[in-house]
Amino acid sequence: MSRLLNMQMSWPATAIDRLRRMFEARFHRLTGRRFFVDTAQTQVDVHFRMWFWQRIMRRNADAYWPVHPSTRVRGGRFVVIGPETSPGWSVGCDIDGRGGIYIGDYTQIAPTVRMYSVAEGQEPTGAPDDFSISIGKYSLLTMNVVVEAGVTLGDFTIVGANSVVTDSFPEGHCVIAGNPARLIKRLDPAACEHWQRATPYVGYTRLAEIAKLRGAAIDSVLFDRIWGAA
Amino acid sequence: MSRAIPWRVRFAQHLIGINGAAYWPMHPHSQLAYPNRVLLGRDSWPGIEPLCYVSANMGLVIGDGVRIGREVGLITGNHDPTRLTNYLEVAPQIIGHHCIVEDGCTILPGVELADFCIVTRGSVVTRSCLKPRSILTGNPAKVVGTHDRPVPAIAADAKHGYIPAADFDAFSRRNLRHQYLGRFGAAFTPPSSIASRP
Repeated sequence: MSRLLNMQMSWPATAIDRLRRMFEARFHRLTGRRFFVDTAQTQVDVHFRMWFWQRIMRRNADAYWPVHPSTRVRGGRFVVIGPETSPGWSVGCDIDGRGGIYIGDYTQIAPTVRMYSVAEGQEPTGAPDDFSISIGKYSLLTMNVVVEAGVTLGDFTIVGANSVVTDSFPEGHCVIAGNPARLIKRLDPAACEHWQRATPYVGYTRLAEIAKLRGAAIDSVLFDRIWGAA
Repeated sequence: MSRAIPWRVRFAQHLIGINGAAYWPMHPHSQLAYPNRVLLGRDSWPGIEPLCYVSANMGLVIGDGVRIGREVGLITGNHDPTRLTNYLEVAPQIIGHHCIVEDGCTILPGVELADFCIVTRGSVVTRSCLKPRSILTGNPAKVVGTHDRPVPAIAADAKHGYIPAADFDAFSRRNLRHQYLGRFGAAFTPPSSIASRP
């Protein structure tokens, strides 16, 4: 009872937690990759549990960003994400990227968000040459949102809970909600803040080393559409 | 004895430490933020069903005998729309005794639900509902009726999650962040004579 009174975890859980922290702190000495250290305290920090299920158990292994073990990612090659945004980092998401998904920088994605880039009842036809779903920077997809194929959302779009986005809102700076999603409110573009992280990470990869992913983890046609200019 | 805790949940929380900070049974596929801002009643386990999201950053008060389904979001903090990493100040979310929140619901920040309310599948509660025994449906949720189900019994030895009822007073005084619990926090705030002592 004294353990609970102090809100502590049980001793096996505490021991495992300390081991995990030691592993994360020393991981870069073994592999040279610092994502455990560098993404801590950011909005999509890499948890050991995510790394373990993706990299060791090979669940959702084609996703190059941290993904919760309870989410499902298909077609991770055709998903291009910006820094510090990870579709499926939260619980229970279903990301079907086979039709091409782009997600802008610093966009937050809540639990159980579903993105279906291949239209209902259709089969994906090989590698797409353009994005079926495109979501802007600094957006927020809240809980239980469904994004259908062919949707484009601009920067600073906030999608309300339990809404189904079937239409595009490419101008951004708005709040949309409902089933189907409709415009609720417009935001003042001047007030919206374009913030940036000092060392941004695209999933497990540092933004400066993004070119490594081209062809290896991301389809090169879709990669060039976003990162080609940079 | 109230409900049995599934062994998988015990294993995940007490051996591996997934959702290990929660003081109530919680499924390993549920997500939790700020467990020490949750004031939990007896025999109610938010997030025992998978894929729930209990985000208590602005305080969450849950009554006795609340039933919460899967994929339920208890969201207590509004993001600042111009800077998503910041949160706006709101009153804590309050869910009354014996409420039933069915699968796929989302309860938004600042909402207060009265006792015995039923929120049906997939609805989004955006406004408070202070009338007991109402049934809420839709996106956004509206009151569509009332019900008069008998009050379900709570076992005499039902706990606040893992904390026995006898110890919960000491537990909440020690661990919970009463600043975030609104009018419920005042009950276990130390009196001013103690608080002002250096």
